[in-house]
Amino acid sequence: MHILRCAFEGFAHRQGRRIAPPQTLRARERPSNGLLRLSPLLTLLNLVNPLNLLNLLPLLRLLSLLSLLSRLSLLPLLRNVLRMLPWICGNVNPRASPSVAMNASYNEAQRGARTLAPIGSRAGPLRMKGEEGMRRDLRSTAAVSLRRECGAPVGPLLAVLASLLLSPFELRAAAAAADAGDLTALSLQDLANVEITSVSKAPEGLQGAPASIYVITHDDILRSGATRLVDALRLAPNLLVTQVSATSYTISARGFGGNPEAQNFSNKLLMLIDGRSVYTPLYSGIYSDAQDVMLDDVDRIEVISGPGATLWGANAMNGVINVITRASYLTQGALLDVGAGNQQQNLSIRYGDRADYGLSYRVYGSAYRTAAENLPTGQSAHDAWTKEQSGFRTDWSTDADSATVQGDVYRGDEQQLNVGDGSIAGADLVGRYQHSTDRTELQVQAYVDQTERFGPAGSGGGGFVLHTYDLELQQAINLGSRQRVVWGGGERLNSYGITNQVALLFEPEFRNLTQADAFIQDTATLLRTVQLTAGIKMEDDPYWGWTALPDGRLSWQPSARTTLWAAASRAIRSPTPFDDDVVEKLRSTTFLTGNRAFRPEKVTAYEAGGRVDLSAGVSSSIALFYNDYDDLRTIEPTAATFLPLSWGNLVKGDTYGVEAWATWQISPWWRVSPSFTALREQFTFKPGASRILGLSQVADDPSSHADLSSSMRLSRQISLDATLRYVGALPDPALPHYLELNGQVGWQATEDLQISLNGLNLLHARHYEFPSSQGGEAIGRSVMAQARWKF
Amino acid sequence: MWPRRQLGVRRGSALLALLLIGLLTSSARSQPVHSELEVEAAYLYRMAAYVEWPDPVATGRPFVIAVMGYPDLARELKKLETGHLIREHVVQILEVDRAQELENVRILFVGAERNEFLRGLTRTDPPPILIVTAEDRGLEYGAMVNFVTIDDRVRFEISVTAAERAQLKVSADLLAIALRVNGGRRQSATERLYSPGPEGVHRVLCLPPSLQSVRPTLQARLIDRQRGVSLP
Repeated sequence: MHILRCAFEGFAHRQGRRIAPPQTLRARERPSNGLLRLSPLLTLLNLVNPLNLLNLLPLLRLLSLLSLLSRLSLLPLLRNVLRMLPWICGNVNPRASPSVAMNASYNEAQRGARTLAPIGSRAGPLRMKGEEGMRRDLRSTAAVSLRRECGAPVGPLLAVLASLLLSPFELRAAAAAADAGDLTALSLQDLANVEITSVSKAPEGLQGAPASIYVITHDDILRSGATRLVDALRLAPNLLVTQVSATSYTISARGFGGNPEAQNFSNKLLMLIDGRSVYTPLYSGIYSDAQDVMLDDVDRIEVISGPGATLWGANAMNGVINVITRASYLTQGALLDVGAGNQQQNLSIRYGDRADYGLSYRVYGSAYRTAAENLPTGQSAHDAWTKEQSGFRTDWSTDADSATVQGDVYRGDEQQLNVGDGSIAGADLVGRYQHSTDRTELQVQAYVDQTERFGPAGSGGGGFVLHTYDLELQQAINLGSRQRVVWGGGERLNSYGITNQVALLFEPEFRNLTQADAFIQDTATLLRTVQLTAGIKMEDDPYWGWTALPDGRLSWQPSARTTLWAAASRAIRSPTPFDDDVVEKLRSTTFLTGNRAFRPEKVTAYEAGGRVDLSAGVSSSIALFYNDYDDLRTIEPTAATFLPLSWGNLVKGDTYGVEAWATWQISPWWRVSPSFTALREQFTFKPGASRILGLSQVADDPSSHADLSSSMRLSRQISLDATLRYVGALPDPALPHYLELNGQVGWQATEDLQISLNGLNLLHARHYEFPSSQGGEAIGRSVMAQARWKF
Repeated sequence: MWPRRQLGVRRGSALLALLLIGLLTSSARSQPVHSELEVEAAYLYRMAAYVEWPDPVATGRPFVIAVMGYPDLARELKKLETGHLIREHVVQILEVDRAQELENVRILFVGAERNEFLRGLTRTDPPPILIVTAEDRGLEYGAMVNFVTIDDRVRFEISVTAAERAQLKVSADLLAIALRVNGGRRQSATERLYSPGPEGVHRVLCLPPSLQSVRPTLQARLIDRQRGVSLP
């Protein structure tokens, strides 16, 4: 079976030479029967010019660098040089320094004074005095005395040090001023900088949602020590993230984390980044190494466990992850984020600004390097990798309309054991327009996504180029105050070319797969506190044809603090080229072939849950689920000859379980959040199944996992965060349970500079999250120092 | 060399020590004492200075701020009612529920549950009232100022279109601080560079927003010192 492991997920990593994107693409074999088909348009787009968005990378790289430099040269250099000037110039009389500093600050003052007391009374700003001056004096005295003692050459260095060390005083003094005075005495600019107590509250609009939803907030992400999107996903209690190797992770909800040895991948979860699907249509699943965002841009990540097919389509079978980034007007100014540690190094820069008429933009660039993990033998797995990514987002808005254009380009190199480097590359461009009136909200979205993956050169070949073109329309209409109808439709073209390897082939190598869908959903308020949501999506899959994906949900909100809900829904995991077209060879023998009659994997899910705010500071959520699966994929031999093997749909079964989490704000500075997830799986072979790989081929999931996180603000500057996670044992292939700790100590050095010490997997020097027989590597402890500077 | 087990113990005690240090420092912690409501209330008091209404408040009459559907904010505003003047007028805080109660109101805050009312109020011929909200889509519903809480700070966005429809003039300084401005036009860099600052001094250097946060005391002191005036 080992050869099977080299299958799809790995094949790109193997070997290969670069192929050009397909120039001529065969039309899909299955006759078109879609009513909503716009494919001529999309196909034309594709044929006219297989866009190479990757060419944007140098441009974006340049843009983000330039914008950063323009920002850099103007402000902080000036500010710091001016501050240090008296001490840097050795021959300046220290006593003269205040006037130099004052001249420099004069322009600041001119600018500031205008903002702080424009039309109204001037009394406010003048009321507070003294403290600012005091801390300035304190600092300059310290620096000056240091210089006197140490002499000129060491002076500048020490001055820098001293100013760093003293900066907390600066912050404290300023904060004290704000605390003591009444807020109306502050200028608007200062009000905008007053820190408020952040009380954890359910995001608006989701408190009454009839589904199991966990929202990872921006703040949670920054305080988790995560440097990549996939690390941040660990924060959701209803997800299970498993690190297989340095590059590879599996992400699952409610089971089905995959069994790679049986070529069963974690493929029942959909992920969208700003409305763009990042679920690969080739083998179904998520390439977590390729899909990333700048974490500081993320507004929130909504994780929905349970089917979401009616709104999000096929493959939202066990859940949907929605990564939502901030609009560009919320990320103004420059940000420099540098981190270095034993396992990871990263550098990110971002610059954002706004212009006239509701227009704003940001550009970013980031580079990332990860060290290799270890093989079970203790040697390095030689899977270190690097990646570079740049992107932009621009937003334009009036009161009724808003439009967004955003894009990303990335390129990465991944080392492989005993062979050369594999490479990944990709780009996307998304356009979105929203228009709202009194009664309706309309959204039109289109995107192009390009994904490439190639194995190391010079040893057999393997790789693919995939272009996705997507067009979606959605409208919400409020009919009176009691009915809200959402309807929409979309069309997606996946156009790919695969370079076949000797042992792994796709026939055909090129395809255009067109997928179309239409949906309607109605939310009716039956009584004051009872809402019924019913919807259906009709989806036309390129391999299987039309499927109905219905969904019904009932919610009851007896009070603003309590929601109870129940739901029944249906979803599928649609067939892919890996199910239909694959051919695997063992030398000259055909070992496995795809099954052209492969049916979608299906689930009917029944859920119930509740969200309760018990008292001030305690909120909790619980969801129970019972999922009924059918037509799950199995490996079946050919009747007389045994080989080649092929896919069958010959397992059915059910799973049930519970997801629960709570947040307890013990005091304003300390929050504790426990969570627990349990899962039971029961599968049986259907009549006619060969049972050759046993039931473990279907799933290999822990029966429970749990987290306990603590988030403390020890002082205005110091925060301490830790998350202890327990993941139960994997049954077959077996892996013992494990306990790990992630944490962060954060120091807000100044209002704009944050320094933190992040640790991932702190408890063990190395641990396994995935069985080594399945390719799991010994994942090392990662410690990293990080600085985030906003300016 | 330390045996492995002992290393683990050491690591454990180090962690414990860290926690202890943390707890000890926490006893001396000074937490941010302000709530979102307090900051929003302060904004409402301060903002009046940056907006011009078509008809000024008559001498001797109070400056009226009304709140609809958000009693907590009304309570917060009332705390500031005494001892504060807005444009040399006494402040009056009202809690309102209907459009008929809006006569003489200058600033109206509308809570999230009254969106439909807000749409109705601003659809045709909106009254000259500065309408403020604090929700995701406040500007879409017709508000002129919408509070946005981001990174533990309360910021705001402005619709100049909506303000102009209500015959309100919003000062460029307010727009400069806003996260985003729908419609209207911000001063260009050149305009900002050459526009007269206080006392007719031209601002030669156009400083980016992060520098503007220098504390007011310092600014005031410096300006006065420059003028040769010493502070009491």
